[in-house]
Amino acid sequence: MTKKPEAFLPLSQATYYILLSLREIRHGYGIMQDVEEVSKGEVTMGPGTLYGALGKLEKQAVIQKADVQDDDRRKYYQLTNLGKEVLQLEYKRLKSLVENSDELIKELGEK
Amino acid sequence: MTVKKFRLRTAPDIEKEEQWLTEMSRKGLHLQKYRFFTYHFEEDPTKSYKYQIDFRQGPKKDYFQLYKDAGWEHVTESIGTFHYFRTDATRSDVQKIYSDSQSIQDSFVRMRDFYLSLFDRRLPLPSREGL
Repeated sequence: MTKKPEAFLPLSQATYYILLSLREIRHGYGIMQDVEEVSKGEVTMGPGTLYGALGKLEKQAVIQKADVQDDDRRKYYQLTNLGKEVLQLEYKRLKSLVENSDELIKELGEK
Repeated sequence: MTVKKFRLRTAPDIEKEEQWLTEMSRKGLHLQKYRFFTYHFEEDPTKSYKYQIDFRQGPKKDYFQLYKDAGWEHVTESIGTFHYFRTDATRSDVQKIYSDSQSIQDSFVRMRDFYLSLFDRRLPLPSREGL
């Protein structure tokens, strides 16, 4: 049985960025490059971390393989509908977390 | 010239082994092959590599391609599960193969399951939930 999108939350930083990068079809190294770019160099992902995560996410049906011809050495992935929901839910969760605490954190700095 | 060194290695010492290989490489001896507890090094004082070892059972070609794309050259393997990778020591853009604690933890779990399965073939592999 497939898990509900809520059951995947919270996502690790690595997982969040991987899912975000799979808004388009990409292979492993393409994901690494996109993550580095989107995070403005804040997150560099090692191939071991990525390979393990892709296997896990595919098994959980959050991402799926995409058919790309002329390249049989690399696997290409994309988000499934479940993956899209998971990513959107996590975004909302993080956003409300930040918004709800915004004032309080600022006050904390002023004390 | 090839230099051979005999050294007993145990699984939990992966990090020490990586450091040792990197240090050997700094001195000009670069791992080429690992067979029957013996490390085969090739001598070249003009080069220096960082070594990393990955535990992975039955990887396919996309695995090796991903590491290659990321700047890691596959050097050798032992029992088909320990994969030795290296990258030029001067490359600062290539960090480690594991970049977060969760994935390091996962790799230890894979390794532990593997060793347990050698002792007891009937042992089911534990399933892991969550991301």
